[in-house]
Amino acid sequence: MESSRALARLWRLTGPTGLTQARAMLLGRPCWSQQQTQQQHNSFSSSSSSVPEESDEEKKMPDHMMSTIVNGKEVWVPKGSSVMQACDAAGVDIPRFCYHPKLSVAGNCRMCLVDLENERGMSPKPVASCAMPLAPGTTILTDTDRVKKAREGVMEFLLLNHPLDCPICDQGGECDLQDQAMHYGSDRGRFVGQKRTVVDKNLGPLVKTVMTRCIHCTRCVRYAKEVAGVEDLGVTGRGGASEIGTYVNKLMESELSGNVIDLCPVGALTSKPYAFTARQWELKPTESVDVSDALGCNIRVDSRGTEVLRILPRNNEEVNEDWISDKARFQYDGLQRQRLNVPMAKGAGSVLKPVKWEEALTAVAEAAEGVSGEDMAAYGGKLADCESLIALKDLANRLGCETVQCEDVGQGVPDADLRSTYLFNPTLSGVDAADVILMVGTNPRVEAPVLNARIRKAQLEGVPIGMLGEDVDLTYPTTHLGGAPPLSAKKNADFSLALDQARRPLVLVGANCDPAVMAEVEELFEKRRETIEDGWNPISVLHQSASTVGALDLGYGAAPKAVPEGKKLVFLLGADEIDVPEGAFVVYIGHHGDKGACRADVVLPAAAFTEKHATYVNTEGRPQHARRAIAPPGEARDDWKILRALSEVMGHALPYDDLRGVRSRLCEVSPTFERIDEAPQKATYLGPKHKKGKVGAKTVLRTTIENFYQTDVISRASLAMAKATQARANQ
Amino acid sequence: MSASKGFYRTVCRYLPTLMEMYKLDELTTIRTLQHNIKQKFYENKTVKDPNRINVMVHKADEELRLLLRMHKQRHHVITKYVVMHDPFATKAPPSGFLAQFYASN
Ligand code: SF4
Ligand code: FES
Repeated sequence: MESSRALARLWRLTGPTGLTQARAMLLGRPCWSQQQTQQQHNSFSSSSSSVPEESDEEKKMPDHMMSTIVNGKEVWVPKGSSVMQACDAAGVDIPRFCYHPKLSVAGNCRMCLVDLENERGMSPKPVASCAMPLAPGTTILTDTDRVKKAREGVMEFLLLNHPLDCPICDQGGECDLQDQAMHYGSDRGRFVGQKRTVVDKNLGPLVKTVMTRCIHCTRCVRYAKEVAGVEDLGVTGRGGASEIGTYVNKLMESELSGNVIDLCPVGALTSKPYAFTARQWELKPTESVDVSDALGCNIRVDSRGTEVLRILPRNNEEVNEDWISDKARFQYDGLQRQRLNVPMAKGAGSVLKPVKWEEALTAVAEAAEGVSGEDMAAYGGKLADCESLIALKDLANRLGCETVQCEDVGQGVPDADLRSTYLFNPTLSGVDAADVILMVGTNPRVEAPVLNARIRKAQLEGVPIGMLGEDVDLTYPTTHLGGAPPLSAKKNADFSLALDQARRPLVLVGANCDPAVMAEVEELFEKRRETIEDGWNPISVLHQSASTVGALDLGYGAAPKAVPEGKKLVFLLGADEIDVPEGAFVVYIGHHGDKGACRADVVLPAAAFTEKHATYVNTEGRPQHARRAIAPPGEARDDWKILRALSEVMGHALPYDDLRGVRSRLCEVSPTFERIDEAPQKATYLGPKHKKGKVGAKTVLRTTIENFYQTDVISRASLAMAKATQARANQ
Repeated sequence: MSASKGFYRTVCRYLPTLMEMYKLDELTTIRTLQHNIKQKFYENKTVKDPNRINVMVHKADEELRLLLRMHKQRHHVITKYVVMHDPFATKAPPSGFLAQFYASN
């Protein structure tokens, strides 16, 4: 696929001669695509191109592998692989539309036809390789004339009813159909007459549909059913009259709906906010991480000039697989609105007025004069990165202030010294290994939709899911066990039994559960410690914001709802949800004019996550880097630089001047930051860490997120998210 | 009469014209402007060498001509003769980091 894309691109640049050269180049370097496919399917191995002797071969072959020959080249693949997987392992490109590694096999586009040969001779007709299990003793041929002709035939039928939309289609330049048509398409049509047209469907404010372009690969239908868990999309009609749509006029009620845009191989499903804004080759991709929830989904930020134009997921099997949530994908327009782009200070009449950086910093320094450390407080916000968190903490400590806290750190964290008390210990990919899942006071559907898809996958494989707390619809069936722990074994005998037998139970605890609830949860496993596998820690705390774990690692505590009375100088590092009493001098460092900036006496404009090099630690304790895609607007500066400059003006200069300096300071404070992109070693369950308390009998635990689409300053400033909220409300 | 005194008078004679050309009456009065100019002269009162004085007068004369031909813009005049000091200069010279920080991200 990759190489055919490369070819198609070359075709556009150089025309037919360039293409022939390029093809020769590609064929001369088979290892190129082979490396790529091996990364994706690392369980497949391919031997060297010369076929080794039979006897040798049998000795080396492990039991679960089988060998086959693709175009004269020997490869080993696990037993039960499909013909297409064998071709991928051999580095042979098979065109495809309907096959997707994360979805079930449908085999309905017929683009992946190949020839098979066994001792009885050639297959009577080409077979669809994605749906064909590999039988022993078969050789695969992908470059015969018959295969080429068959694929050309399929392509001709596909193009028969496909509109000539490419110049006005958003998929242009990254369209699978366009790319394959370069290979297999004819330069003229043989059919005359009307092309088929289909009425567009309304899938809400995020996904745009142009259904005439649909080639009925049913990827979107399978995705909605299998991953998103909403049975909203489906096929109606038959043959030439078949249509993809939501049977009745209805939105797609999923937090993961945006992923169908990536899945759709043509331009039938595209992004509404991105419509007609750019071509893919104009965009500058930057690899980054998402901050809209605590999972740290890997994303690619596509920017042009000073604007972020779209956000796409990046594959990371251990974190987000191929998906991101709608908030992560569509909130980027919030980065353009409500931005703070000049420093401001309160002048006469208590109105914020734009000032120079020098004046703003001096104003803070003057306000701090004579204020003792005890009367100061520093609060980190939901989107704060680790670099700025450590700078804030160092500055506060130098000023003698010990009240250094982070908002949105749950009350259930007893002591931040023990990392395993606040992490998602089994790791996100550990969800796949769990044999019982219990949720306590959380709603992963709104707190971390991508994790919810993973749990759903586990549920489909038969893992029992129990729920203590509010009974919400998570897109899969769960057993409701009560409003809060303790879990009564009498009432829920089945689930208790499952828990008793579990070797790798996983308990998903909402970050806002109080210590008493946490103690009850630990109590649950205290009795069952014997059965739990060594090295498996069932406690998985699901945090809600990107900054939380980083802040805890750096020694921040949980912030109260309101700043205590008597504080005279308050630093808010993007903290918007904390109430500040009258009379305090508030310094707001952040990127959006929200609640915090309104209340501030001095506003120092900072960079958003797409505008700085920053480290975020996700809920499993995996530090990841966000990278700068565009420059911060106006006079805004990186957060940690603001704090560094402020420290100098206040006469307590911090000892780091560049990013490397801050990062080595991070490593000094917590060794976690030395292992970027790695999840921490799994921690063995060490027994209860929480003090016992009373959980009220009538308590019903619930998530604190009211509206999935608007949880932080960026998503609150985003138009797309506002529209999505409204559409959901009107449903 | 020394060269500098003579030149000072010339400047004073042109002040009303300059006030009008650069619309300075929105910002200052002729008296303060004259006072500011006088300060500029006093800044060099330690210089006694007639050759150096002559060079300085020559340069200032050139500047005056530029001003009269509108080769300068209003903000040049304002920062040089009306406001006369950088309002944002901090007392201690900033470190390399701070200077860079004020300049750009
Ligand atoms: S809309 Fe796109 S993904 Fe869905 S069936 Fe049609 S072509 Fe496939
Ligand atoms: S990819 Fe095999 S039939 Fe569509």
